[in-house]
Amino acid sequence: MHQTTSSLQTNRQICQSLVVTVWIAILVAGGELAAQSPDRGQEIFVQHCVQCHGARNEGVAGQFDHPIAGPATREELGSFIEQTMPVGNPELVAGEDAGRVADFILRNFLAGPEQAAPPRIELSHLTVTQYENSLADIFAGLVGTTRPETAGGLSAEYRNSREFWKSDPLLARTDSRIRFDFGEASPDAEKIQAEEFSIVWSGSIFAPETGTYEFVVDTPNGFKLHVNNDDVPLIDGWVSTPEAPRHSATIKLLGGRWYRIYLPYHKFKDPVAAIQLGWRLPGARTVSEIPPGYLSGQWVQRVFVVETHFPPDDSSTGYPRGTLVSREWDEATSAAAIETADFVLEGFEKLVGTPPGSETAGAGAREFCAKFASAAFRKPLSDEEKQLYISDFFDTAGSPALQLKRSLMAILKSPRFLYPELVAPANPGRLRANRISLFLTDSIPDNPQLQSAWSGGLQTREQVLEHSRRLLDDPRSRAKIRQFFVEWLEMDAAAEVSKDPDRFAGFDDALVGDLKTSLQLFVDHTVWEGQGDFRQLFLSSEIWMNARMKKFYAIDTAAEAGEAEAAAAESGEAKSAAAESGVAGSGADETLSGDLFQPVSMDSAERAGLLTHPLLLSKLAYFRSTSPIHRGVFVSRRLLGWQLKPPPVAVDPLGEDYDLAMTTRQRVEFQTRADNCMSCHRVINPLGFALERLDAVGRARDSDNAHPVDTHVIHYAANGQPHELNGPRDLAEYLVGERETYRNFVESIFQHLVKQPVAAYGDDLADRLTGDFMKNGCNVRELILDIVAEAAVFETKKE
Amino acid sequence: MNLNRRESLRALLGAPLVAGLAGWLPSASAAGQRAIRQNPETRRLVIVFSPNGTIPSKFWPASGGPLGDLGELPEILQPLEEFRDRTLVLHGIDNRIRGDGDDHMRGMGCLLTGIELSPGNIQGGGNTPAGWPRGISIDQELANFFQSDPATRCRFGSLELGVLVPDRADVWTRMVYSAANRPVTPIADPRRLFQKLFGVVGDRESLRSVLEIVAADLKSVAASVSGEDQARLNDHLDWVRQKELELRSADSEIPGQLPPVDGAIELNGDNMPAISQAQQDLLVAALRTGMTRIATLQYTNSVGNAKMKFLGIEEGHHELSHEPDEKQDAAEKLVTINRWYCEQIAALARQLANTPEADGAGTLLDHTTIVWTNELGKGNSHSLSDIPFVLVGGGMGWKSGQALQFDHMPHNRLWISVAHAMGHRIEKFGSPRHSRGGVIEELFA
Repeated sequence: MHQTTSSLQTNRQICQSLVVTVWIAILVAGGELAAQSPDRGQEIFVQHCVQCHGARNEGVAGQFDHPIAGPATREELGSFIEQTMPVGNPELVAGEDAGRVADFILRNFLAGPEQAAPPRIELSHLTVTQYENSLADIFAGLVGTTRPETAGGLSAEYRNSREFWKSDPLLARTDSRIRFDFGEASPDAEKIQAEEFSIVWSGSIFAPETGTYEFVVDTPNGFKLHVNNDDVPLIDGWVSTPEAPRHSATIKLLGGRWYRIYLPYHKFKDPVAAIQLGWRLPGARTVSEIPPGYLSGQWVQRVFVVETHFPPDDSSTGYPRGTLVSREWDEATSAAAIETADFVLEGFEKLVGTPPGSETAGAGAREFCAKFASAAFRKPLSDEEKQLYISDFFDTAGSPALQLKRSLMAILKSPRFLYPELVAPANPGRLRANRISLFLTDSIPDNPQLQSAWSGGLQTREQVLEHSRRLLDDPRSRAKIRQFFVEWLEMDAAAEVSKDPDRFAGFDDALVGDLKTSLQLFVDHTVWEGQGDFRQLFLSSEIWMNARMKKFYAIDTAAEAGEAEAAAAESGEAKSAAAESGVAGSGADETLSGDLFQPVSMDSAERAGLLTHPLLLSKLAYFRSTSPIHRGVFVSRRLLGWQLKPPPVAVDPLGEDYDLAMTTRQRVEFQTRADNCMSCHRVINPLGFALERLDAVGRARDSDNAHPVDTHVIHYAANGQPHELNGPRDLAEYLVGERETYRNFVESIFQHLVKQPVAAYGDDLADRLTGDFMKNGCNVRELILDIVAEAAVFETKKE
Repeated sequence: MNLNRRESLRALLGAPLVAGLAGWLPSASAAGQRAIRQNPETRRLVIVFSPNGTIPSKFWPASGGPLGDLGELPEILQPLEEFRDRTLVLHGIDNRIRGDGDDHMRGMGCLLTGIELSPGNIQGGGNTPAGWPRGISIDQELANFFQSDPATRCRFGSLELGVLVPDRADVWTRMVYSAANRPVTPIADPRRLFQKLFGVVGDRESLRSVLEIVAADLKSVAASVSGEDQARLNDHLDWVRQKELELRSADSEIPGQLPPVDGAIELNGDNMPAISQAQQDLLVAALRTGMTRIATLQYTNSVGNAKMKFLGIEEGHHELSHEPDEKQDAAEKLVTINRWYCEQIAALARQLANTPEADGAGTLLDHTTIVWTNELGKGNSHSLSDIPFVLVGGGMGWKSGQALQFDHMPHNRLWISVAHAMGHRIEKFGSPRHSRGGVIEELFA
């Protein structure tokens, strides 16, 4: 089944292989091929193609130095040859000839079994993300896990004494943000005195993504900040340093989880009182306020976050997967095992339930390790596993602490933990539960899931779907999906963008941070709210904005506010829950805060979803001017899934000063006019030109270099069909009309969730998923569930 | 808590590994020893703090001059008898830093920094509230000096050890500062200190025992998977085996005997002698292996109120120190306490004197100066005059075997002199005003 390539696979690789060929009109006989029964296709190939592709499609150095690769249909390949081949003289091979040479190529070069080794599900170890999350959840399973039920701020207790532990609060409330400047006064003139008082903020804080967070506290007074650790403060500023009021420290947090936070603060005899808490998100360049939706007054259990640095996963196939076994990785698993074991030893009494020196310490430690191993191996322990990983350590002489340490180290170094599917559980329900958790949360199942797996659940597809649907609501799943969009849309690279301050005053680090938040809110909102309609990612004319963005993009804030008020008055309620509490949707933690950002309706002619989001438009542009090439490449690579080769020669783009009479579009057309450029740029340029109404920071414009902007283009689809497009909305509607767009999205998100190629699950799965996705209202959430269900119930053939 | 003592040393304790488990220990310490050997004038400094002032009549020699001329050392100093000729008692050195904060606060915060406290929100028993000192402490100044030169760089620029230092950061509990407003927390738990210094050794042993099992299990599970997947597991197995080999060869490089640290000493007043001993053992091991050349050892804290029942004393140290001079009973107890601290100094000196240098050229004490000091001169008067300063050790040109008498000498100048003795020629330290005059020439032979 694997040998026949699907006719509906995209023709991306063919496209990639052919487009950069440089044609040199020299006729060479293809001697070996001539011996076989000659046909017209072969004749053409020998006449027009071997110069660059070689007689046996081995490629020709300096021309096209690797084989044409499939898969492609006769129609796709024929159309492509007709349009582009030979490079520079496509009219030489046209009509039925193009089809014949396509036949020849398909028959001789693309059909053999060695051409396309069937993709298979490869034995993979935990990715870095999976490792970190699995460890966190092993502990969560052992000590119990909690999630706040409400969000919107931290619990706050106000007292008249700095010795806050000695008395009951005089004032208790929820503070949605920690941003106070009391001056010489008291926080509450009636209840609290000004000379000496304390405030204790506590609760939990949500980390939207995995990475290093910098917490920043500005105060001339005294405070301690604890994050995810009650014993040791992240920052100890109890002794005030009014001359150096800024304090900061970093901590690694895993995304999609809540962490306990504790911030006692006091003023004592200082002249003034003020405090502000902010954070710098992973990768961000500026400190920002913590959205109230990320703060809760309820406490949660400590999360174990492994600090050991792992080498990055193999991403050579476009997504990180656990297929690289290196020395560095092996070293990291050792270091992480030791770190984890030491963490348990530190908290021995709390975790094991008895002090390390007590009579029952040995029995307690043994039991702890057995539970730990069962969670880590994702199954009940076999007798062999019990012997190897538990008894062998606890039956040897030594203190319970040492036995525990070594047993834990062995469990965490074990292939049974590191390779999730290496030793599968006998219970098929359990196996499916394991997979669903791995696909959706990058982690092990937590306890409630185990229950349903044990009790014979997850037998039918419906049960699998229902279980997955429940887990999809988990903030960890949402964090994983959010990370998919970050990677798919290359949002992290966008954080690096900078612009000419003379031309784009106000485009600063803080604004770039806002742009990322804005795009994430848009994606979150589209995916998790309402119909979760994929098409809205392209068609929506809304952009989420805060005050700074509105100012920069010249949105009339007064009119906006008026509209919002009018809308609120009309509906008799606040405009949206998101705008009020900073939380959108049902749970406390799905989306970024909405109270600083609101969706703003834009001119639908110039704005169309992702394509026109200022973050992407700014990233896909130069310091001063737009870059239609970057934008066109992004659309063809990322959104349509085509693979493009790098340009045959390195070219410096012409700057604006090359010819002030030219628009950016004209300069690009001029510079890429050569045939060997046009083989790719005939695809790339029009896609970029269609977006020329939006400048290098994503602002709408009518003119470029004092000339009117021309967004009228003809785009050739993969099958060679011309499409006339004028502006972003046309382009968006074209993309939404192309099956390729959906198919590419299905493949991309499948790989992100499952960490295996979709074709490994059957030739027709991607098609089936794409078809159902398009039929069922393009609901992204349903697509995710469909993918998870398919991959969870898949039965690997035993060899 | 009664973990097996020996095993907790070598195997139980572990530190997260940074650069691979082959470990820094053999090579880094070898480099440290090499660096020290290359410099024939190896110099080490250990500053030891004990709190609440002393009992002057039982501490200061009746007059200046050679200690050898005294029939008997003053009662508190008697434990140093065997080091009489290597001891220097400095009488008349004052902490003259004024400004915000009460005497205990300035006594502690300005002791090693020699500079005023910043304004802040910590209120002591009198005067104005204050924050942290405005400058670096002398040990950190010297650590930076040695670390800036590759020839003298050690794995740790300095080590900060504590005994019963409370788990709270304020100017009473911190004497070491890496810069203005930057207190350095001493490690008061021998278990943590062991982990920091030698954790990797224990971890190596644990890892080796674990890898045997992992390798065997990898081999057995690999049998159940297909060819290509098997290749991946075989790669994995290769790395595990290579690691095993590495660990085996690394084992023979552990330098010398490691100190027997009890993994589970509970940190309370009753265990003070055991904690003190454990910390000293680790300190000497760190100096011996060239891990550092600068250390501080802080017993409790300013206003420290340790209940030293093991000396038969029920009251806390600080409350005793407030008793008036006439109260004979309290004074005797304070002598007992201070004498015990002096025994700790002597024990440290003895251990250094019994430990040969790695290159065989003398003992550690020949190249180490211990400075024993206090945040107050006298407890019940909270005096910052006549701060106890006792130097024990050698190799730096001190006029040892003497009691020297000064007239309200600012202690900034003592730190300038110590820096010079260590090879770091600074003109001032801390307060410029109190640095005037620079090195105290009389300290040197």
